[in-house]
Amino acid sequence: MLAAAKEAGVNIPTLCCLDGLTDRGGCRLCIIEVEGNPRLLASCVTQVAEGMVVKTQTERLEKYRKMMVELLFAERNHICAACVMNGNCELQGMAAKLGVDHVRYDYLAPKLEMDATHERNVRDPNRCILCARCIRVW
Amino acid sequence: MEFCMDESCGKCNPCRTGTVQMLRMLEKITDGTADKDTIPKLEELCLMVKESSLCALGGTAPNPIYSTLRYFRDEYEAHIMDHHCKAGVCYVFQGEVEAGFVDTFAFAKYIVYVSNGGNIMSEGCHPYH
Repeated sequence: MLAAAKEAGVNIPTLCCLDGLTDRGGCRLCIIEVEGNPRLLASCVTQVAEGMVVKTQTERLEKYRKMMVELLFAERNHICAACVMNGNCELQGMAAKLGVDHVRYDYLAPKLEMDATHERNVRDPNRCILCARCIRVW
Repeated sequence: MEFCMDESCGKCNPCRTGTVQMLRMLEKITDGTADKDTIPKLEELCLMVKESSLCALGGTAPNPIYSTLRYFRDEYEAHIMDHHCKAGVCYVFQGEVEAGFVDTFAFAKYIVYVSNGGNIMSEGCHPYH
């Protein structure tokens, strides 16, 4: 559904989808409303069907996407000012696109240490949103 | 809620992050540190988690909050506005126990108490006094 919408010129926001990787449906940012279904479906893992009536941009979806990004910021230590990806970050870009200017939830501030044991593969769990792109790529 | 948070698989964003925040809001309500925006924020979060989660764990995690809000909303508000626990269980408050009242959080608090090694039999009748 996500790919079909993109072809039609509708860009549904997503964070865990990456071209070439198996879609996961984990970030739930690509949720859509399908007529006749009370649940919200992740468009990246939803098959297109004949006669489907889909809404990709409603007040409810907009609100939920904002809340999800806020929750992501609150989950771990995302400090843009001190981050190497500042200005070149998909999460930051998504927040800007959705209009998230403040986080209404408590910052959990977990104590997480960077993993630089491999010189070519440094991982900072403080910036991780558990999208599993790094796992799926293998 | 602590159970749902622990059992959450972590794949989808709303359940993994939402249940933690819902638990924190509930704790703030029972601690007396919540404000008047907490209940609307909690309701909004519950609805989002229920509707956007990948599986039924996230879909049903907010249910205890919904039912307690539906039947005991006044107790929630009393905790926040008056800092008063009608059943006298929340140990921060010096609430008077009203005859016949059942504290909605008593069961959850008992579970926490037991998981922290408490034993209601060895300490006498009431674990919170």
